[in-house]
Amino acid sequence: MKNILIIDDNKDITGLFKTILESAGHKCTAVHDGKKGVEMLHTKSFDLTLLDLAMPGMSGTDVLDVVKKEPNLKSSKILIITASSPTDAEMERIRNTYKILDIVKKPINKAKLLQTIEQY
Amino acid sequence: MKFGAALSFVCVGISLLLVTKMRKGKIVFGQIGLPILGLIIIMFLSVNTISVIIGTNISLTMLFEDSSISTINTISPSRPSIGALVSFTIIVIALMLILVNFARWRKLVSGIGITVGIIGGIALAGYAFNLPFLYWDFENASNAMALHTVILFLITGISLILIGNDKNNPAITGSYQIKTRLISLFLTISIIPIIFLGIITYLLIRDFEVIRTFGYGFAMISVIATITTGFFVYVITRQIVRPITNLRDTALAITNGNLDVKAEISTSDEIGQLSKTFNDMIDSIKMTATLQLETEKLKQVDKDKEEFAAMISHELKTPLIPISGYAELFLDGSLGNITEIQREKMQVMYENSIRLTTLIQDILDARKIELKRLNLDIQVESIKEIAKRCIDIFRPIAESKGIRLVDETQDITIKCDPDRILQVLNNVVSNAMKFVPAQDGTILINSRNDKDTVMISIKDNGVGIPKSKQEDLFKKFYQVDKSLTRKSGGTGLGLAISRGIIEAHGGKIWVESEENQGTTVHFTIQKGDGK
Repeated sequence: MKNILIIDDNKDITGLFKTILESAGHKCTAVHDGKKGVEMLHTKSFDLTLLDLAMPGMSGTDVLDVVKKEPNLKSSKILIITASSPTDAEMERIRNTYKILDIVKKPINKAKLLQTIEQY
Repeated sequence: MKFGAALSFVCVGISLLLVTKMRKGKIVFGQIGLPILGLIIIMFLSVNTISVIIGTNISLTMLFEDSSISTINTISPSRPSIGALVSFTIIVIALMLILVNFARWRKLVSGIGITVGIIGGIALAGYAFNLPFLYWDFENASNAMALHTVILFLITGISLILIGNDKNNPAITGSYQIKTRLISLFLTISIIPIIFLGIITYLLIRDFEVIRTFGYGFAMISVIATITTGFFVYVITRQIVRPITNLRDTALAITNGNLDVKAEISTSDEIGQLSKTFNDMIDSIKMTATLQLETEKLKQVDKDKEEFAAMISHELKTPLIPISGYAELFLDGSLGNITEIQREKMQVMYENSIRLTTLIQDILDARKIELKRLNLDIQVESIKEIAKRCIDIFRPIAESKGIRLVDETQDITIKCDPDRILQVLNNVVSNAMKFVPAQDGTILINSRNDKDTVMISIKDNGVGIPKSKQEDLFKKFYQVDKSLTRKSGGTGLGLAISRGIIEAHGGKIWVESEENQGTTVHFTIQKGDGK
């Protein structure tokens, strides 16, 4: 059982992920913009954070910027789940700049999501 | 020497000095000579002039005499003529104006030039028609020098007019440099022989009558020399300076971004050829500029397409995630029990959403391959591991159709992006699934260990592909049998993408098949370093 935070602007996707993860026995919190995500990271501690890249307002990389700067957030385990297809250079840049677990591209099905979660 | 002549020489000397220095920019080495010459003339004549005015005999003319005052007195000091005084004053004022701000007083200076020229002309007329009141003095052998001075006045006046009337952009340093250098050069050339001839004659003969006679001869030489040099200045200005100025203006216009200019071709000589070449160069620059513009436009179009593709990727894929996701949850019972008919229809929804997702992914992949921008995350992975993942995916469908999936691959590592190689295997296997006979189909994956590469083969016992169509298989949107499209789905992109992926890995993919004998798809991948 893991305590997981999902940061994604699409409520249908957070709803689906939540359903899948909760049915597998995980505890899930979903927020729908980057700013709330950062607030949530400050207030609670999570075993894993699933972060979307393309979000209006504070984007995924903006969240990563904040996490990188704040010492008490540095230990956050963040997994990026994105629907856009970042270029090689972009992925490389994100991997090099931030301490993240992995970049997973959507679409992602139940098996793959659960398998990824188990991995970390 | 006459006072008027001396005074005129002073003026001409200063004029020379300033005409050459007038553009207060850089003074190149060649330009220093003329000011120095001007300075020498000024010093020489100033001493002389002052001595005449104050009536002492420290005049430099002493050098040419027997040190006797009486001899000096034979060269009677004369009163300064009105003309000389006026021209002197005018020139001094003009020069001060030049020093203060040349560009601003340009027109005034040119007016002064005209005035000085006219004064000189009047004096010249006095000599020509023997009217002594028009010139400053007429009593001794310096007539020739005085006459020459008048001519120099004329030239100085004309040069000032030329400079003043130059319609070129005054902002350009060096606009008048060639012209003024030429004028100064000719002035100097015409002064030097006269001075030296005068001095030598004076020293040798010391007979004023003879000197006077010779003086007219010098005057003639001077006039001829001046007219000739004036003509040269005119010709050179017209033939060289003007085309060069024109070229410079054209070049300046091009530098400022105006490519619609043309250099004027006025002669057929080297400068004319230069102008012509220059025009050809403008055409060439224009063409390059047009091409550059086109390239920029194309780049923009490409960028727009790129952004469009990224948008499609995100906006189309995102809504499909909850659709297929919830369908999957319904099917596996996570959302409670559903009836058999509901399950059947939900299965249709699920499969179609997956197909649509695959289609979008395939279109994006095909585009990336076309642009050679396929992302490869190269790792060392066992081919057996990848084949196992592929078979795991297809096993449920294969079992339901009675198709046997056999993995005979060796446990060899390859250098590849495992997800992409899996995608190739999936594409090939899913194609094979469509063509093998139900209940009796076999799909076999095996590998062959070569020197540097591993060859992976996917063999089926399906209908086979006629030789004539084998090459087309890897083309985009190609379907061997169009009627199959509706029946079995597929975008016709699978093999084109597979080829793109394999080629991006530096490998090869090809097909071996005979009709009714089954099909084998082979591809090669570089070996991993291990095992």
